[in-house]
Amino acid sequence: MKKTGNILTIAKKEYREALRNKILWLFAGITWLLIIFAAFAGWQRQEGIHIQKQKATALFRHEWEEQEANPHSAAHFGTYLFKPSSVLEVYDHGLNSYLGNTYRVEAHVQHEVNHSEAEHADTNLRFGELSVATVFQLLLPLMILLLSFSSITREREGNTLKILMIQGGRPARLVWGKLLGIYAIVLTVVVPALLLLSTPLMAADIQPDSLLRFTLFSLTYLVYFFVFTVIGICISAISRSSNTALATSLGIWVLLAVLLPRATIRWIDSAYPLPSRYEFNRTMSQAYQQGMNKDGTSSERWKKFMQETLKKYGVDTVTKLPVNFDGLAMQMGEDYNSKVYDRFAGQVEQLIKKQQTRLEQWSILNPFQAMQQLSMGMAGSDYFHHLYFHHQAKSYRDEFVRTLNLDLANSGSAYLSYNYTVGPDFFKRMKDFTYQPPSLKEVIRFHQWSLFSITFWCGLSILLFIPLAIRLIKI
Amino acid sequence: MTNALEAAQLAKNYNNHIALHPLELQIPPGQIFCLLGQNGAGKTTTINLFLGFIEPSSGQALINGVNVAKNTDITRQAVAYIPEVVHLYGNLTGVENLDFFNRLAGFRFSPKELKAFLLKAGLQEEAHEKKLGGYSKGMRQKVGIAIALAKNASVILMDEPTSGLDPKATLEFNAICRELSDQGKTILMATHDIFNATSLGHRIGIMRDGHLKHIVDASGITAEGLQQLYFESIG
Amino acid sequence: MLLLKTIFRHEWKQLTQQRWMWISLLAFVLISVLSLVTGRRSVQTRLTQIDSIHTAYNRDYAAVLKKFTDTSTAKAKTDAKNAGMPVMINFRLPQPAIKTPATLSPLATGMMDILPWYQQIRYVKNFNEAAVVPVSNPLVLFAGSFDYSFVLIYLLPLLIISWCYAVFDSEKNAGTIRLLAVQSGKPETIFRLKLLFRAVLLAAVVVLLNIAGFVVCSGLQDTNWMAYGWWMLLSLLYLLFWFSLCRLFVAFRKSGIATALYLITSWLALLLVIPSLCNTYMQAKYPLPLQDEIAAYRRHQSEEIWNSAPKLLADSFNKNNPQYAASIDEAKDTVKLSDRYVAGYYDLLERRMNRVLQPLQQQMQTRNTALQKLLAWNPASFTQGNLAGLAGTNLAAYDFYSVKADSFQKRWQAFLYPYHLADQLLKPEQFNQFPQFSYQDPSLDVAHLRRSIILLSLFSLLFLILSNRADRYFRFI
Repeated sequence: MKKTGNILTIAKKEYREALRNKILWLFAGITWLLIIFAAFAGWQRQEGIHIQKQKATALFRHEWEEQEANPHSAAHFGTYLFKPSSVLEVYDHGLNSYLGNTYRVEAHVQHEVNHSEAEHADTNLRFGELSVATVFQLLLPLMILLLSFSSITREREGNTLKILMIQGGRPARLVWGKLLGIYAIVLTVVVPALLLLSTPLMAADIQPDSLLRFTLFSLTYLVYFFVFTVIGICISAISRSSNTALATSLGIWVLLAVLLPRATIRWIDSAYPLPSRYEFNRTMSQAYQQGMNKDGTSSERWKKFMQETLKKYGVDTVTKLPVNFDGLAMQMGEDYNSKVYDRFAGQVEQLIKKQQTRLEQWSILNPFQAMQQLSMGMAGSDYFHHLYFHHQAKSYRDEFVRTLNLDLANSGSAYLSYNYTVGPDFFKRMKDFTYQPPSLKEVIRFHQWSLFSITFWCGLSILLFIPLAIRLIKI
Repeated sequence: MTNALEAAQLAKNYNNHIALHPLELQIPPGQIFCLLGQNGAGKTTTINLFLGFIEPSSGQALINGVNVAKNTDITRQAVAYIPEVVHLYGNLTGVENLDFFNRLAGFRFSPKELKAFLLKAGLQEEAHEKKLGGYSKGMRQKVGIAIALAKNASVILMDEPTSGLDPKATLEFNAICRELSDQGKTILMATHDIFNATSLGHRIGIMRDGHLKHIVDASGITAEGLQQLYFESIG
Repeated sequence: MLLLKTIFRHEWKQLTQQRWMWISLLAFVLISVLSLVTGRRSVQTRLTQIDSIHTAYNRDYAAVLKKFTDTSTAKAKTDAKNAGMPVMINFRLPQPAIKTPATLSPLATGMMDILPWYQQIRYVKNFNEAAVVPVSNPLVLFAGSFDYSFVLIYLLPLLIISWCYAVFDSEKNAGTIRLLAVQSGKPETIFRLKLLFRAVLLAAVVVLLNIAGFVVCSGLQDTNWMAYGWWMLLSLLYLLFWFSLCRLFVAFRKSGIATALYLITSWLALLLVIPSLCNTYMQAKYPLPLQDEIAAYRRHQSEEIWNSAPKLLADSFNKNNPQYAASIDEAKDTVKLSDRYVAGYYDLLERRMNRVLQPLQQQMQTRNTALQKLLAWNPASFTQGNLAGLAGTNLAAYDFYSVKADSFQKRWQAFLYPYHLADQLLKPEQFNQFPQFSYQDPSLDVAHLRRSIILLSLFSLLFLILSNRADRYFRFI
C-alpha cells in the first residue's frame, strides 16, 4: 500500500505543479491551435477534392456511357479513374503531395497514377506540411521532452531531492511517480484533441473501417508519447544538471526527428537505386518492340499469332475468320504490353517496396520514423495504399480494354473495316470502377516492422530505460 | 573634499520587502568603514548598490561624487571588489586567473609582477601555477585579494573578506588593509567579525532590518563594548 | 583592443576545455561532409544518366545513317529508301532535351528529384498523359533532401544556438560575473566579445565547408565564381542573422535554460511551424485542380479535330503557318491522313490545348507566388529558396527549362516540316544540320538575391540594436 501510495503522491504533485506552469498552458494552447488549424485545413481540402473527384468521376462515366462509337475508337477515347481519398488522410497527408491521383485508362498504353502536387510546387513544399500527424509526430515529442527534462534535475538543483529520498521517495518510486505525473499531463493535452478529431468520423456516411483505423492511430500515438515521456524522465534522472538534460533531450529529438529520417532513406535509396525515367521508358519500349526472352519482335509475334489463329479456326486467310482478327491481334498486343509493364514496372515497385521494408526495419532504431510509417498506413496515405489503387486500376483497365477488343473481335464486322459501332446500351453494361480499400490487417502486415518497432520501444522503455534510470539516478 | 563613498537617501525594496531603508552615509577617503549586522540586515544590498549590481529604488549611491546607477562603468573603474565567495575559473591557474581579471581592467603585468601580487596577498608560491579547481576557500580568497590589489583602485568594497581565512591569514590581511588605508584608499567592509572590526576599522556601522542603527568610532569603543552594543541593536 | 585579445584568448582556452562544444562542432562538420558526399553522388548519377542518353542517341544516330547505305537484304533496301523520310527520322531519332545540372547542384537538391529534366522531342506534341516525372520512391521525396543546403539552413542555427545560449548563464552560474563586472566596468562588452569570438570561429568553419563544397562542384562541372560568391555571402549572412538573434536573447540575461528555450522556439517557428503552416494554408486556399476538365477537353478535341474535314485542317494549318506555303498541293492535301491533314490536326490541337492549359499554369503560378509572398519574411524560407536558385534546382529553373524545351521543339519542327510537307527526303549529309539543344541555366535572379541579402542584414542590424537596448535595460539583473 505504501509503495503505490508514494508513487501516486509524487505523480499527483508533478501533475499539480505542471498545471500551474504557465509555459505548459502556452505549449498546450499552441498545440491545440495548431491541431485545430491543421484538422480544419485538412477537412477543407478534403471536402473540395472529394467534390471534385465525385464530379469528375460522374462526368467521365456519363461521357463513357453516352457514346456511339467503334469499340476500338472508344478504347482510345478511354476514361479516367481518380484515386479515392481515405477519410483519415485529413489527419495525415503522408505521401499524398508526392503521389498522383489521376489514372488514365486507354488502349495501347499502361499509365501510372499522375499529377501530383509536387510537380507544380517550389522548394517551399520541402519544408513540409502541417497536419495533425506532423504535430503529433514532431512537435508533441519535443513538448514532452521539454516538460520532462528538468523534472528530476530541478529537484536536485532546488535541493529538494535529498529530502524527498529521506521521506521515502526511493529512486524507483520517484522515477515512476514523475513518469505517471507527466504522462497524465500529456494525456490531458492529447486526449481531448483526439476526441475532438474523432467527432467528424462519427458521421453516418463514414466507413466503419475509419473509426477502427482512427482508434489504432490514436492508441499507437499514445504509446509513442509514453516512450518519449520515459526518455525525457530518464534523461532527467541521469543528467548532472538541467542544462545537460536539456541539451541531451534536444540532441536526441534533433537526431531522431530531423537528421536520421533523411539520412536513413537516402542511404537506403543509394543501396537500392531506381532507374531513371529515360532508362525505364526505353527498357519497356525495347522489350515490347524486340520482345522479352525469346518472344520475338512485335511484328514476329503478330505474324506468329496470325498463324496460330488461322490454324485454330482452320482457315487460311484472315478474311475467312469468323472473328475480326483486328480485335484479337490488338488484345494480343495489350496482353504482351501488360506483361512487359508488369515485369519492368513491377521491378521498380519491388525495389521501392524493398526500400520501404528496409526503412521500416531500420526504424527499430528510430521510434519517430516507425510512427511516421505506421501513421501513414493507418491514414491510407502511404505507398501501400497508392499501389493498391494502382493495381486495382490496372486490372480494371486491362479488363476494360479487353472487353472492347473482344467485342470488336466478335462483332462480325469485316477485318480492317471501321464502320462497326456500338451504343449506350453496350457502354452502360460495362462495369464502373469500384475501389476496394485494403483491410486493416493487410495494412498492418505491410507495416509490421514499424508496429514492432513501437512495441519494442515501449518494452525497452519499461524494461530497460526505467530500471537503468533508477539505478543510475544522480542524487 | 568629496567623499569617497556616499549614500544619499539610498533605498532598495523588492515588491513588498524593504531591503534597505533610506540610508545616509558618508565615508571620506582613506577611511576603513566596517558594516556589522545579521544576515538580511542590508549589508550586502548596500555593497551591491555601490557596485552597481542592483538599481536603487530611490536615492543615490555615489563614488567619488559620481552617481553609480547612472555611470556604472565609470564608477567601477574606481572600485575593487572582494566577494565573500571568490568564484574564478577552475581550469585556469592562480596566475592565469589574476592575469585575466587584470587585463579586463586594462592592466598588463609580467608574470613576476603577478606572482608578487599573489605573494603579497598571502598565497604560497607552490600554489601559483596550480589550477584553481584545487584551491581551498582561503586560497581563493587570497587570489581575490590579489585582484583587488592589482587594480589599485581608490575604493575597495569587501563582503566578509576574512570568512575563510585562518587567524594568521587574517592578521596578514589586516596588515594589507592598513597599508591600503595609509595609501589613501577607502575600504567599505561587510563583516560578522566584531573583533576584527574593532582592530581594523576606523568607523563601524551596525545594521538591522535595512536600517543603519548606529555608527561608532572604533577608537572610542572596545571589542566587548562593541559586542554589547551589537547585541542590543539587533535586539 | 586589449579587451578583445584578452577575451578571445580566454575564450579559446576555455573552449579547448569544453568537450561537448568540440563534439558538436565535429558532428556538424562530419554531417556536412556527408551531405557533400551524398550531393555529389546524386549529381554524379544524374550526369551518368545524361551520358547514357547521349550514348544511346549517338548509337541510334549512327544506326540510322547506316541504314542509308545498307542494302544487304530486301528489307534493308526498303529501309534505305525510306531512311531519309522526315517521318522515319522523327520516329527513329527523337531529340533529347536535357536539363543539365548547374554547377552548384550538388549542394542544393531543390526540386531535382521531383521535376522532369529530360524530354524526348518529336516534331509534334501529343498531350498524352504519359508520366515524365523522375522515377522515385515517394518516401525519399517526402523525407526531404540531405544536402549541404539542409545542413546550412536547419543544422547550422542549432549549432549556433548550442554555442551561444549559455554565454551569460555560464558566467552567472560560475559566479564569475561579479568580478567580470567590477573589473571591466561593462560586462556587456565581455558578452559581446564572447559571442563575437564564437561567430568568428563558426564563420571560419562555414567558409571552409563552403570551399570544400565548391571544390566538389568544380570537380564535377565548370566553376561558377558568381554563384560561389553569392552562396558564400548568403551563408555568412544567414549565420550572422542567427548570431544576432542569439545575441538578443542572451542580452535578456535569463537562465541558460530559458534562453535555450527561447532560441529553440524561434528555430522551431522559423524552420518548421511557419513554413508548414503556410504550405497547408496555401494548399487549402489554392487546391490543385484535378485537371479533369482539361483531360475531357483534350479527348473531345482529339476526336473532333481528327474527324474534321481534311480541307478544314489543311486551311487552318496554312493560315497559321504561311512559311510552308510553297508545299501546298490542294489535291493531295484534301485527302484524309495526308501530311498536311496530320500536320493540321496537331497544329490545331496544340493551339486549343495551349489555350486551355494556360489558365492552369496561371493558377499554379498564383499559388506559388502567394506562398512565396507569405514566406517572404522568413529568413529560413527565402534563404533556402535562394540557395536552390543558385544551384539551378528551384521551380523557376525547371520552368525555364520547359520553355527552352518547347522552343527547341518548334525548331525541330521547323527543320523537318519543310522536307516533310514537300515530300522531300533528307540526305545523310544534311544530318549535321539538325538543330541542337544546349541548355544553359537562367541568369541569377540578382534582384531576389539582393533582397535576401538586404533583409538578412536588416534583421541582424535590428536584433543588434535591440540587444544594445536590452543590455542597458537589463544591466542591473
